[in-house]
Order: sequence, then C-alpha cells, then structure tokens
Amino acid sequence: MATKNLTQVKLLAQIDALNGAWNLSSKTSSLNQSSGVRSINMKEIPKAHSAQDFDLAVSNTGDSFLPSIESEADLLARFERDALPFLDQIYSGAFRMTHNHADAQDLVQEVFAKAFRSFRSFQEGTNLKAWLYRILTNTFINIYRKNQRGPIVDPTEQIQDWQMTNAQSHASEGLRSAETEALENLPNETIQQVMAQVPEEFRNAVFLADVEGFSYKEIADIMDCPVGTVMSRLHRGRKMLRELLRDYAIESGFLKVDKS
Amino acid sequence: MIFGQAQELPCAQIVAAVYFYLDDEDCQITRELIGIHLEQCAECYEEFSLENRLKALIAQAFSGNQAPPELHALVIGQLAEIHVDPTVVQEHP
Repeated sequence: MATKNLTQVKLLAQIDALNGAWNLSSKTSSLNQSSGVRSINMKEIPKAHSAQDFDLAVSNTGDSFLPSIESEADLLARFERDALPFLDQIYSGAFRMTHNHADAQDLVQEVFAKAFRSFRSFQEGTNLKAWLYRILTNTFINIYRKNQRGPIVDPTEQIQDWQMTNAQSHASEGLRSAETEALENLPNETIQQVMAQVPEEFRNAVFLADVEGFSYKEIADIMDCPVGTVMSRLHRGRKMLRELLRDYAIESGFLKVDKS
Repeated sequence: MIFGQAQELPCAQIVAAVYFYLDDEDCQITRELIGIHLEQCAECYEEFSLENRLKALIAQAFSGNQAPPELHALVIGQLAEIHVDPTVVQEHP
C-alpha cells in the first residue's frame, strides 16, 4: 500500500517537475531531474522508520508533508558502515560452502548486492549478521545447488530420538580421554576433510553454531527451519564428525583401541 | 521438574544436556546443577570436555578465511552501480 501511494506521489512529483513547478511549500525537497526521480532529500521532514510509520507519513501527504525517504547516498553510507564489516565473515562462510576462492568471491558479491537492494527492508536493531547469513544461504542454494540434492531430512525427526542416542553414548567410557588426547594431534586439514563427509545440512548447522556462534533461534531463522530441527541437525552433525574423527584417529594410529 | 542433589541426577540426563550447556542455550537442567554434577562425576566431565574440545577444533579449523583484499574494493564498486528506488521498500530477499 505504501508503495502504491508512493508511486502516485512520485508520479505527481514527476509531473510537477516537468511543468517546472516542483515546489514543496518552499521546503527543502529536491529532485534530481537528470537521472529521473531517484533522490528525494527532505531533511526537515520526520523520518519514517518502519512500514507503518511510512503509511502514516504518506497518509499525511498534503502540501506540507511528504514521507521522508532515506536518500540513496545515505542508504549506501549506512550499508557500508553496518554491513560491510561482515565481509570477511560472509566470505569465510561462502568459502566453506563453495570450497574455492573464485566461487566464494562471486557468491559474496551477489550476497552484498542482494542485501543492499533489500536493505530498506532490514529492521534496524535486529541481527544484521544473521540476516546476511540468511541471504548467503539462500543465494548459495539458488545458484550453486540447483543440480544437487541435499540430504533428505526426515520431517518427523524428534528431539527425543537424539536424546536417546546421546544417553546411550555414555557406554564407551574408557575411550574418552584417549579420544580427547587424539583430537589434540589432528591437524586442521584433517578436520576439514572429515567434515566434508558430513551431510551439508548437518554440517552447516554445526558451522553456524560452532564457527559463527549463532544461537539455535538464529540458526533456525537462517536455515528456515524449526528450532527442533536445528538441534537435531547439530546433534547428528557433531556425532557424525566425532565418529569419523575417531575412525580416522584409529586408522592413522593416533588412537589406540584395546579390542578386548 | 524438581531435582534432588545434582550428583543424584542420572548421568544420561546430564549428558543429554551437553550441547545445550556448551552452546549456552536454555534447557531443563540449570547450568548450576550441571556444574555441580560435573565436579563430582569424572565420566560426565570427560564427555563434556571432549565435546567442548571438538567445538573448539571446528571453530579453529573453519574460521579465519579472510577475504582477499581486492574483494572489498570490488563489492564497494559494485554497490555504487546499484540504484535502489527510494520509494520501493523491498520484501526480504
């Protein structure tokens, strides 16, 4: 609705401009005629911060009241100030997804372009990093995963299911300290290789929690799934990784198992 | 749910809470009760240590992939080319 009203406002503005009669009660509005109606700068008019304010502001449109719209330059400045500091982190995430630097760079550029186009819809005060990660995840899925199938995740997976597994895992006690010790000797490359064997959805949940430090709720928002599914994916991903690392450690002699 | 002494909690319940504890998420058993149990149960303590170590190893192995310096300039250059219609509030991407 706001958009429609604004379109009308914009049209009126254009007509006025064409007639050479653009004049808003001698206030400070300006119209960049060379590039069409792109920047409207109204410093003296209260800012609209949400869609609702926007509607209210628009409904007040008379001779002396127009909605305040952040200029493109201001929007860009705000985006560069708030979003760009996450470039390295988003790149890091993109690299984990694409496994190569060229694709990661392309992906990051696409993510920031999309984010900038939609930046007005981002609610200030909410988690910008999580918002960018969500765009990253969606963009990756759209661009790079079209021909691939992700793991089939059972929609009925329940927390109780993995709580049971976890309780059972208490059995192999003697191994545990040896296992911890063995982990100390594993190089990063090994962990990276082993992690690649964990299904993508589980792996991504683990990355978001352990590398990025997102809460379960934030991961649920980023992955667009219920919190219970996040917990299940995290649990499965970690358990798989632990088993794979343990197998690796045994095979390569880091971990001695007494098979009695 | 009312629990007695923390050390009387079955290990299975404590171990089931390991990820909640390490991820700093709320769960049915308070952090305090888990802490008390871990002080007195070497097996659970080992289990928590192992999971904690694993978490740290993952963080270490997968972070710190810095963007190449030219990417920053590329992104900024690209943003300057994008024109966002100030009158259209886009939906979430």
